[in-house]
Amino acid sequence: MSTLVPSSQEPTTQVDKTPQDQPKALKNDNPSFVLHGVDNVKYEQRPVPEPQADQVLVEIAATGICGSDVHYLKHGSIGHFVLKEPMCLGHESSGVVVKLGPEAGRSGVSVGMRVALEPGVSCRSCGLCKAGTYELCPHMSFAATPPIIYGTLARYYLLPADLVHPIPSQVSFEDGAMMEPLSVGVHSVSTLGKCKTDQNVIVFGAGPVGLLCMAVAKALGARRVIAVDIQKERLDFAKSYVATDVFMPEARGKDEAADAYCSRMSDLILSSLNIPALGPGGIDLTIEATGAPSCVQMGIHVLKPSGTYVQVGMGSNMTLPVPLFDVITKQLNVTGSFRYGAGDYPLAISLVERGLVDLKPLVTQRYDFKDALEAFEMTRQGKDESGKPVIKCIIRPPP
Amino acid sequence: MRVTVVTAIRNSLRAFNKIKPQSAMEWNSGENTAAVLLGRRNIAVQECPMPSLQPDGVLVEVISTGICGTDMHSYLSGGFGGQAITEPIVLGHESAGEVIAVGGMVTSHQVGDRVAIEPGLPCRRCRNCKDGRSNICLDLTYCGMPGSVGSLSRYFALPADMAPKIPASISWDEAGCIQPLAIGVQIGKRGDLRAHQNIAIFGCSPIGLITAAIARAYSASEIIASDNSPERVEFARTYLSPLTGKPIINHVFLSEPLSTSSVGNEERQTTSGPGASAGDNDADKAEVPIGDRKWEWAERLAAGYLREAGIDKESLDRVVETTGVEDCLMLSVALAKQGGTVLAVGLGPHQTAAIPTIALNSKEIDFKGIMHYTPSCFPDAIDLLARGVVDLEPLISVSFPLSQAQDAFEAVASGKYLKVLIKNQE
Repeated sequence: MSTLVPSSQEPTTQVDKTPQDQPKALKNDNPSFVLHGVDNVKYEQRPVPEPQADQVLVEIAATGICGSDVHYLKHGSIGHFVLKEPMCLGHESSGVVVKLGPEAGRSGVSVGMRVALEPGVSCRSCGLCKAGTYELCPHMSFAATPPIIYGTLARYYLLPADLVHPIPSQVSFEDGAMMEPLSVGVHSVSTLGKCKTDQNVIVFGAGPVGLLCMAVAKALGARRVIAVDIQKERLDFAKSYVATDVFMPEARGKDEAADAYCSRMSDLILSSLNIPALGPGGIDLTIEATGAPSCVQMGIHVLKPSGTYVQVGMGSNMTLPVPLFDVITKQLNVTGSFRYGAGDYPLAISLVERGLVDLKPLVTQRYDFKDALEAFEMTRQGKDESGKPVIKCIIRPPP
Repeated sequence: MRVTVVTAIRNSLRAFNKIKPQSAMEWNSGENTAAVLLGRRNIAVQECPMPSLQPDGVLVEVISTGICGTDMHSYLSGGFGGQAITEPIVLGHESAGEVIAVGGMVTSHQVGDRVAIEPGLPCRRCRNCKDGRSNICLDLTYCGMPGSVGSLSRYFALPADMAPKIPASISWDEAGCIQPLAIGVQIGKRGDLRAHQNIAIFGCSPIGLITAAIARAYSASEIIASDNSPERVEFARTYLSPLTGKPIINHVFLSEPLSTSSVGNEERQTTSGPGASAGDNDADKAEVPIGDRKWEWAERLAAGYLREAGIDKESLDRVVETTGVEDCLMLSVALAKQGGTVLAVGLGPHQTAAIPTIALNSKEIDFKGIMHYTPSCFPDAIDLLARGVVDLEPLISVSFPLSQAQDAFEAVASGKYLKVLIKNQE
C-alpha cells in the first residue's frame, strides 16, 4: 500500500556535485515501469544500456507525469501512435550523467554532470532536421512513444550527448524534470509566438502546459498575462502564480448557438478586462492550451489585427471550426506548436536559472517509484486523495 | 522494423565488419588515386587508401571535379588562411560521380545512382546545425581543408543524405559545377533575391556569373555587373539566359581602381560657410583617411553606373560582392538603395577593408556575410539545372585528367579560364 503523504523533500539522489575523480559506481539493475496494455503496467528489470558512439548514460533523478503518459495507460494509443509491444513510460526527467560513450568526450558533457533530458532523438539527416525544424522529423525516436520501447521511468536512460542539457546547482532535479514541459511553453510562447516585452498575452487553459506558457510570457516581460479556464480553482492558482488577470467563461445558454456563445464570451473578455479590440492594450498573442472548440474560437476573436495565435493544446477533436473571417480580415498569424526545437531547452533552463520562472509551486505531489501508478491515477483524476489539485506529480527514481 | 536508433546502429555495426562491403569487393577497383597538395605550387597524383564506407554512407566513383579560386589560393600559397600545410592534403570539393556501393542502413540510394557530392560534414548536433545553419556549424569538417579529405580522388565516401541525385539530363561537366551553383542558391536565399529586383554584382568569375544566372532565373529586373578584366567583361556580356536567349546581364562595366585624390576640393572652398578659416584646407588634407577619399569617388562612380544602366537612383535593391576587394565593397554600399542589401561573398586578399559606415547607417543597409550553402541548396541547384533555367556549360572552359592535376591548377592560376574541370577517372 502506498504512503501518499507528499513529502516536501526533494528526491534523495539530488547531490550538488559528484566528484569527477570518483564517478558513481553503476548499479547492475535497471528497474523499469513498463506498460503492457491498457491499465496493465508491470515493474520489470531491463538490461542496463551501454552508451554507443556519442551517447551518454543518465541515472534518473526525478520524473514528471504528463497527460500523454496517462492517455497511453488508459487507451494504449494517441492518434496513430499505437502501443504494440511493452513500453517503459516516462519522458519528463532529469538526472546525473554516469557514463560516456566512446565518442561523447568532445561534447562538453562529463560524468557527474546534472542534466535535464530532451527525450526526442531525431534522424538529423532528413530535410526537416536539416532545415532547422528537428521537432518535425518523421523518424523521431521519442521516449515512451510507440514504437520506441524505452522511457525514463527507470533507473537509467540513454541519450546522445547533445540532448542532455546541463543544469546549474540552483536548478533542482525537480526543476530539471520540468524542463520538458517548460520547453513546450518556450517553444509555443517564445520561438513560435515571438512574445516580446510589453505584449499582452492570453492563455486558454490553466493546466500544467497553460501555466508554463503563462510563466514564459511573464518571464519574457509580457505586460498582461490573462488566464482563461472553466475551473475556478485553476484560475485562483494561476492568479497566485503568474497571471495578471483571470477570466472564467459562463456556461453556454440552453438554446445558444456555439458561434454566438463564443462571440459573446469574447466580447465579455475584452469588456470585463478593459481590453481594446485593436491598438495599444490589445491582445498580441493567444496561446491555446486546451484544444477545446470554444476556446479556439475565443482565442481568435480576442486577438488584435496582425496578432499571433499559437495552437499548442491537443484536445479530443482532430478537427473543429475556426473563425476564418477573423483570421482573414485581421490578417492573423495562426501557427501550430509541437513539442520543442532548437534553442528551447537552453532558454527554458536560463529562465529558471535566472529566477524568471519559478517551477516549485507547480510540483503538487511526489511519489516513490513503487507508487508510480498512484501518480498516474491522481494525474488522471486531477486531484489527489486529500483533495488537493494536481498540477504536476513528480516520481522519485528507483532506490 | 527499427525499434530505436541505438538498436539499429548496433545491428548494422555488427553486420558491417569489413572495410569494403560485399558489393565493393566484387568489382576489382584496385586502390584509390588522389591529387595531393604537397606544398606551394606542388601537386602530386598518387595512390591512396580507399575510403571506408559507413553504414549510412555511399561510395562514389568520382567523375568530375571543378576547381575554384579557393583551391587556387591554397595551391599558390601551399596552405590555407596564411598557414602552410604540415602534411599532404587531398584537395577538391566540387564533385559528382556514380554510386558504386551503399552502406547497410541506406535505403535512399542504390548502385548506379548519379550523385553530386555536397562537401562539408556538419556535426548535426551544435546549435547552428539544429537551427538549419549547418554552413556555420561550430565543428565543421570541410572537404579539402586541413582535417578532412577532398574529392580530387577516384573514389569518395560520404553520408547518403549529402549525395543528392542528379538526373541523366545533367552532363558530368555541368555536375562538376553544382557546388558553386549551390553557393549561388544560398546567395539567393540569404540575399533574398526575387522577381523584379535590380541587382548589381561585383566580379565576373564563376560565382558572380552564377549569381547573375540565378537572379535572371528568379526574374530579376535589371542586372549590372563589373570586373577589372576585359576578357571577363567580354564574356559576361555574351553569357545568355536559356530562358530568354538574351544576355543575362544588362550592363557590364570594366572597372578601374578608385582614385585616392581629393574630390571637390574646389567645392569645399566655395561652399565653406561661417567659421571657415585659411587653415582649414591643410587640416582637411592631413586628417581625411584614404578610405574617405575613395568613398567620395565611389559615390560618383556608382551614380554614373546607375545613369548609364538606366536604373533609378534609389532602386538598386541588392548588391552581391564576390571579389572581396575594398573598392568593390565601397561601390557596393554606394550603389545600394536605402534599405537595400549588400552581400559580402568575396574572400579578398586582406582580412580587413574600409567600409563606408556612415552610408551604411544613414541608408539603413543590411550588410551581410555569407558562407557556402545550407542544406536545401544542393537539391535546389540540381533542380535549376534539370529544368534548364540555368545553363552552366558556357562557363566550363577546359578539362584535364586527374593524372594532369598540376596542369589543371596552373590553368586556373593563369587566369585565362573561367571554370576548369578535372576528370577524376582519367
